[in-house]
Amino acid sequence: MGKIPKRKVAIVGAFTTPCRGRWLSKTIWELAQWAVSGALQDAKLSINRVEAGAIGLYNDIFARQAIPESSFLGHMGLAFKPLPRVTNGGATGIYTFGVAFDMVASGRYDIVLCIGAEKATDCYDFMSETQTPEVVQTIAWSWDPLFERDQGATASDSYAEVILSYMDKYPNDLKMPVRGEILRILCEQAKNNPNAQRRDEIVTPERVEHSPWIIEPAFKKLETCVYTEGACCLVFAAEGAAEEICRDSGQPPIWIEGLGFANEPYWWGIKHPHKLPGRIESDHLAAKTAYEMAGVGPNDIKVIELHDAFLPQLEITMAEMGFVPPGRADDLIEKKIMAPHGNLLINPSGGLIYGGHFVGGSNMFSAWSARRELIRRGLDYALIHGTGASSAQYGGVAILKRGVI
Amino acid sequence: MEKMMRRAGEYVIPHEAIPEVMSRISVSPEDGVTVVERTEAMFTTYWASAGEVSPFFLAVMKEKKIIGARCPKCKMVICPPYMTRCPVCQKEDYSLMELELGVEMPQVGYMLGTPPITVFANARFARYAPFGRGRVILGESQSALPIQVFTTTGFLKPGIFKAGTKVKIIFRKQRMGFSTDYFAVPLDEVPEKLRDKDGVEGTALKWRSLEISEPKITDEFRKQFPKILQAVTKFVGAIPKSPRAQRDLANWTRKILVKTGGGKLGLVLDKQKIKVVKDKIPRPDLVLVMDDPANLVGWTKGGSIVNLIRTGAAAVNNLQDMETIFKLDRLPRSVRRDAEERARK
Repeated sequence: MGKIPKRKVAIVGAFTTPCRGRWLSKTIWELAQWAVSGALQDAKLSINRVEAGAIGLYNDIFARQAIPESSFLGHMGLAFKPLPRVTNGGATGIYTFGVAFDMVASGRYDIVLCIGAEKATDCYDFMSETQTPEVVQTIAWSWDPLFERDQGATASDSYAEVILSYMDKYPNDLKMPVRGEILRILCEQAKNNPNAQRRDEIVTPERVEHSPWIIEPAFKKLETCVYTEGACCLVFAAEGAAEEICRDSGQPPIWIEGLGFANEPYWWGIKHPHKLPGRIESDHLAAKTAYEMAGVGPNDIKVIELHDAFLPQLEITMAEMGFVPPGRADDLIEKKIMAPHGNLLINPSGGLIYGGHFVGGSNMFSAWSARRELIRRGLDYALIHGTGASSAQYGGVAILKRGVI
Repeated sequence: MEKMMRRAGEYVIPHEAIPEVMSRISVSPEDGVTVVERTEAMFTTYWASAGEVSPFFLAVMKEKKIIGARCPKCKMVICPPYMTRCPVCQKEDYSLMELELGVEMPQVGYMLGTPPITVFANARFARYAPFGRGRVILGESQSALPIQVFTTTGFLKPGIFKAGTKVKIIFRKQRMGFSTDYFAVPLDEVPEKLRDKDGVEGTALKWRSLEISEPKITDEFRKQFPKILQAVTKFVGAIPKSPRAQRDLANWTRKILVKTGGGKLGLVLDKQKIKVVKDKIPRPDLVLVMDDPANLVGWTKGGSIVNLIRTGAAAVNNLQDMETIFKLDRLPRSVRRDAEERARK
C-alpha cells in the first residue's frame, strides 16, 4: 500500500520526439537531448532551475553500452547533478516516472526531469538479414538462463501464456472481431498523433483476422506493439514551483494524484506466492493503489493511455483495472464503453501498437499524450499504465488530474 | 572436474550469427542524412554455474529424475527447486525457513495453461519454429516447471496441448545440464506400457512425421527435371569453394532421397560436401517430397525448404531431422557470400 506523499507534484512540461522504426540519423544521445530541449521549451524553463533527473533506459544491449546514460547525461544539462537510471523491463518508463515523482514528492528536489529514451533497431540478425529476430533475441536475454531461456522464451510467448491462460478461464472473451475493432480504432487514433510511428497505416478487423500468427493461438502480427526509437521528457515540479512555471508557460499543471506499482513473482504456479494463470495481478494491484491514493475510481477516468504490448493484453488489463468485469473485456466494444462507440478514450496516441514503443520512454510518451488530451479536451482525470518483464510481471499506474493556472 | 561433456561442432554463438568487421555509408530514407554504420557486437562468454540448483540438473542428467523441494513448515512443494528457503515461513530467529531439497517428483503431470506455439521466433530459435513451451504441474508442486512441449504426431498445432492436458516428462538421450534435457509429450501419445515408467527417453517413443504422399507426376515436371538436376548439381559443385558452406555441413552425414513430380534424385552429405546421385538412393536417412521440382531451383537461389514444408508445398518423412533441412537452407546464402567476397578480391 502506498503512503501519501509529503507534497504534490505536477507535470509542467513535456516533449516527445517522433517515433520511428529506426532513427538512422540520430544516436540515443541526440534523441535524449532533443527531448530535454523540447520539454524545457514547452515549460519555458531555464535548465539552470532543474535540480536532478531520472532516466529510463531499458536495455544495455540495445544501447550497445553498459551504463549508457553516463556518456550523455551532460548533454541533457544534468552535469554535476544526480541522475538515477531506471531499468524495469517494459515497465521501465512507468517506474522511472515513479522515481522522478518520489524525488520531488519527498521534498529533496523542486524540479526534476523525467526522461526516457531507447534505440532498439541497430540490432541486426545476420542470419535472416533482418532486424526483428535480433531485437526479439535481445529482449529474450531477459529470461532466466537456467530454466527458461534455453527453451526459447521470448516476450511474445510469455505474454501469450498470460493471454492463453486468461482464455482458458474465459473462452468466450477476447473474440477476434472485437480485437479487430479495437485495433481499427487505435490505428485511426494514431492519425491524430503527430509523433505516431504508424500514422499512414489502414487497419481493418478483416486485415487483423488475416494477418499471420506471431504466437499461435494467442495473437497475430497486427496485434503486437512495434519496435520504436525515440525519446520523451517530462518536467516534474513541486507545488509552489509548478504553479509559477505554469503561469509563465500558459499551460495548466497536470497533477500526479495517484501512483501505484506491483511486481508479480517470476515463477508461475497454482497459488500464491506464485504468479497465477489467467491474471495480471500486477495491473490490478497497481491500479488499486493509485485509485486509493488519488481518491478516485474507474468511473472518474476519462482518458487512458495503456501499455498495449499485445492487443489481448490491453483487454485483460482493462478488466484488471476495473473498467470491465473479468471475463467480459469484450464489453469495451460490445457494451459501447470505448470511444468512439462510448465515452472512454483509450490510447488516443495510438498506443504502443500504432503510436510507438521506445521501451525506456514509452510510458512517458503515454503521459505526454494523456496530458495533451486532458488539456485539449478539457477533461479532468487520466490514467497511464505500464507493464513489463516476463509474463507481465511488473505493473505501474499513475492517475493524472488537470489543474488550473 | 568430474566430467566434461560437449556437443562437438556446436557453438554458443552460432558461426552464421557473427558478422565480419564491416562498415557502410548509408542515407537515412526519412531525412536524407548520410551516416556511417559499422558492425558491432556485445558478447561475453561464460562457464556459468547452476550453483544451488545444480542438484536438479544432476538428477536429470544422471538419474533421469525430476526433483523438487518442500517447506517443512507450510508444506509448500516447489518444482523445480528454484530457491532453497521458503519466502513465506520464518524460523524463531526470523531467518527464512530452509526447504527440504531432493524431493522426487512424479513424471506425469498436467499443463498449467495452454502453451503458446511460437511461429515467429527470436534469432537463435528461428530454426526451431514452430515450437511450443509451457508449464507443467507435477505431483503436489505449487509451482510449475517450465518445459518444452512436443507431439509425436508431427508439427505442433493448437489443440494438442491445453490447460489440464496430462503430460509425461521425457528425457533426451544426451543430457548436459540444460532445461532442454527434458520435455513433455501428451500422456495419451505415450505407449501404455511406458506411461508409469520413470526416466523414459525420447528414443523410446515413436516419432511420426506428417503423412507424406507420393509426388504428383506430370509431363511438364518430367520435362523440366533434367535442367533442374543440372542446376542442383552446379550449385552443390560450388560448395567446395565456399568455406562458409563447408562449415554449414561440418560433422553432418546424411543420405537424402528427393522425390519430385519430375523424377527422383539423391543428395549425399558427407565430408562437408554434397554429391548429387541421379534417380534413387538406397536406404535414405531422410526423404523429401515435393510436386514441383522447380522448388529445388528456388532453393539454390535462396528459397527456403523449411517454408515449403510449413506451407505444405513439401514434406519430409522425419520431422526430428529438420536440422538437416535447416542446414540445406543455409547453403545458398553461404555460397553467395563467399562468391561475393571472392569477386571483391
